[in-house]
Amino acid sequence: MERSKKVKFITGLVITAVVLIMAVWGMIKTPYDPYTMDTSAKFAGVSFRHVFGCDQFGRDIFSRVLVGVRETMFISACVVFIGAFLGTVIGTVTGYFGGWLDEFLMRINDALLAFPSVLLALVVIGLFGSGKYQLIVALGIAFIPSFARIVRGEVLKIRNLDYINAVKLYGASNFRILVVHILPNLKTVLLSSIIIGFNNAVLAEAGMSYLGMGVAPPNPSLGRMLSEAQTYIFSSPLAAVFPGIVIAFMILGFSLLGDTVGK
Amino acid sequence: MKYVLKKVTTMLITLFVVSVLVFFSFSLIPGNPALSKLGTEATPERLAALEHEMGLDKPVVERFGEWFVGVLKGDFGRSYSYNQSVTSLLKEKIATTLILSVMAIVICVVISLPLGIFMARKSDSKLDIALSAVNQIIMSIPSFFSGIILTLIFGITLKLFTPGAYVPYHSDFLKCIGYMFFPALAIALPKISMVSKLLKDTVIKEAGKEYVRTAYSRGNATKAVFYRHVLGNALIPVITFLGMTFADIIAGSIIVEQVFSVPGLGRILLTSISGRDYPVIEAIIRLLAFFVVLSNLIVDLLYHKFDPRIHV
Amino acid sequence: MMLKVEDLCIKIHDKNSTETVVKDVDFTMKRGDILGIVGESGSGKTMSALAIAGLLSRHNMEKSGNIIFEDINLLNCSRKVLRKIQGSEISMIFQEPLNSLNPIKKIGWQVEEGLKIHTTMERLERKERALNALKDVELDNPEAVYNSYPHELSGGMRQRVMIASAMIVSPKLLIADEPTTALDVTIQAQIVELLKKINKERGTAILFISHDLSLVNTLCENVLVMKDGLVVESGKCADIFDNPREAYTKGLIEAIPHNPFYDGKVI
Repeated sequence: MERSKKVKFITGLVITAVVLIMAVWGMIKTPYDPYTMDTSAKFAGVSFRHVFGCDQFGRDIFSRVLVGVRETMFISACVVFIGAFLGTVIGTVTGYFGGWLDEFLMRINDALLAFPSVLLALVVIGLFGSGKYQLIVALGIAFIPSFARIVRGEVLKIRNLDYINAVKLYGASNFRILVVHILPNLKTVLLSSIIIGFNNAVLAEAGMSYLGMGVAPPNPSLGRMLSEAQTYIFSSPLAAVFPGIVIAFMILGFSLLGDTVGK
Repeated sequence: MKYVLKKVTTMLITLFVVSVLVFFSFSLIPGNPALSKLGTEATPERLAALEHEMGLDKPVVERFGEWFVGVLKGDFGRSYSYNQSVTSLLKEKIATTLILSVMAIVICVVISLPLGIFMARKSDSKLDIALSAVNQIIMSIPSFFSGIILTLIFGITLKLFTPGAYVPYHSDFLKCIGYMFFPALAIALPKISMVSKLLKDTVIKEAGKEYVRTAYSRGNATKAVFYRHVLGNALIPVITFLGMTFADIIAGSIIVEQVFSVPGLGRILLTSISGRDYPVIEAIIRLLAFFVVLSNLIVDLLYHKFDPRIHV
Repeated sequence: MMLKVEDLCIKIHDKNSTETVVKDVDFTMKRGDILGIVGESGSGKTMSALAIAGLLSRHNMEKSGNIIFEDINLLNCSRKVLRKIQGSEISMIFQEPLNSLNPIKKIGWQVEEGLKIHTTMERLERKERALNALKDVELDNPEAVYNSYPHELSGGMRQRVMIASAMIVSPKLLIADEPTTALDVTIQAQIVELLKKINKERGTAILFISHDLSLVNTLCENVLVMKDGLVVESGKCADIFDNPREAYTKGLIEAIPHNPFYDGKVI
């Protein structure tokens, strides 16, 4: 690796590690209870007791951010898993077998791929209503097309290699060829797509919850903390700044990793 | 010409596929829109009457046929919650969102192309490294957060605009543009970073190619080699990327409208989703699909013009 | 003497090592000469050619010696003087005609570019010249070629286009760096014939770089044999071919495949 790439990779790794630590911290115990309101601490500024200050109900923003990071990471992981899993299945089957099914599915896939994931997710939310699990399904579906396209391309490439033909000559079944010879070769391409997927999932989740289409209140979510704080932006701008910085921080980590891993 | 025809056909097919998908997904939703419209006032007679009025008692395929004919005539049905036709409800909002998106696209192109060229020419200098780092950070800031930061800096601190005081385009076009500049900038910012980074990378890649050596061998000065040979080739992948970016910008405008209280398609989409106003949601989705597909078409045609190697 | 290369040395500085790719190369060319340089890849022949054409980058490379072309030392003259010579008095054609042409510009535009840079000709006059140049390289339908893009032509046609764009400025020296390596054998012979004709009719000196000794033998009077950056043998082509002194040259001669179409003779 050249030097600048190394710097990017290590920075990305460190940031992602910090994000994961925050998520785990949010899972175990936060400094304050993220739901307890404290009218005396309403819009409290940054202090040693409240490192990010307090929100309009006097809840500790740092604690809420930790839980928000946990939620965002959980939703993103589910979304990427759905997208990667179903995308890999569709991409492998269409790429390997080809034929009319491939034609048909890829037409739909390309039509969907032209649409930004937030838009697709809004359609699904429009159908099923909003909420944490609806959001996971909505974004998960929205993430399938890009994985399907990438995996299909890779499978096409591998399928036409000489050694696959040789294995076929030996009488290996399609199933065996897929599982033993093709799937393991998708590792590299999947790894980088998954990291980029996380980058996009965090962005989409934050956007959707900013629009009020995600985790329901009073549960903390980074996007909604931003939109709530925006109401009070004249009086206490910092309440909006911290959750926003954390979102950007998460995306930065994944984008740095995505830029360097597998390329 | 054949190319244009083919692209337009693909565009129409895509739109049709999207329309069919949208229509049938909305027919499958559990719950009866007539029932939810009547709410507590529902009696079996009233319900049946309203269902008949809304055409819900007909088979799905027939409804699709009627709906499709209606769409071709520009009739998108009536809104459930506002007592007016979807077309008249959305007219002004479409224009608002389009103004915002087009401004964002213009800002993105106008800033990112010179910036990318500049970064490529200064490549590996300290300035380039600093700019690349800033780019990487800006790329990571979602547009709704940069919107809030812009509001804080330019709206609240510098008082260059009043947050929330949107001016409709039909009352004062210039003031409207002035207000929309900041939301458009918020949408454009991450895209500017991406496009300028891509352009820088492609310029550097193209500059190492053999035709560049030929250009030098003819006695071209470095500047001429760059503008006459390298730039055109480097722009080809950038154009493809811009195509995808346009779609993203349209989606981004939905979110950023919320930040700056711009009453466009995004806001009405959100209120319609929470109010389950399906005809409006459907119409907006199809409209957005149309914009996305249309912008893809424009980019394809541009691409065709820039790269003679692309043939049908 | 038109071209005098004296003690040419080229060193490439890598991050932590320095490699000398050309060592003390000396030779001269008169107007209308055809000189061949043969050697394997990595022998320094292309580097020497690029140095003469002024196409080696100025950083991470160290050049010493003299390249004197018409009393101007190309190695230490200003960039401006060099540019005046490039593409007007010295032209160059390359191994891969497809990659050497700009993929998104029409052939006509690329053939005319030398005129645009070095003359004040009007557009119509340039076009006429370009069409003539395309005709001179024996392209069948110059008007159609003029309006097409590189990817629409065959490999042989592209190399003819490259020759046309190099010859449109009537240079004194044409440097041809493996111009036939990427082409079919029959096309190779045609291109060599074309170069011969250009030399004869227009008196252009040609520096012909190749790894193929038999091609050099059909085209050139004199030849330099290079190995590892050094000139190991030089002299009249016929002498060296019949009576090689160096084992390396012998190896090169023995490596010539026996080709049913083309047996080291002019077709």
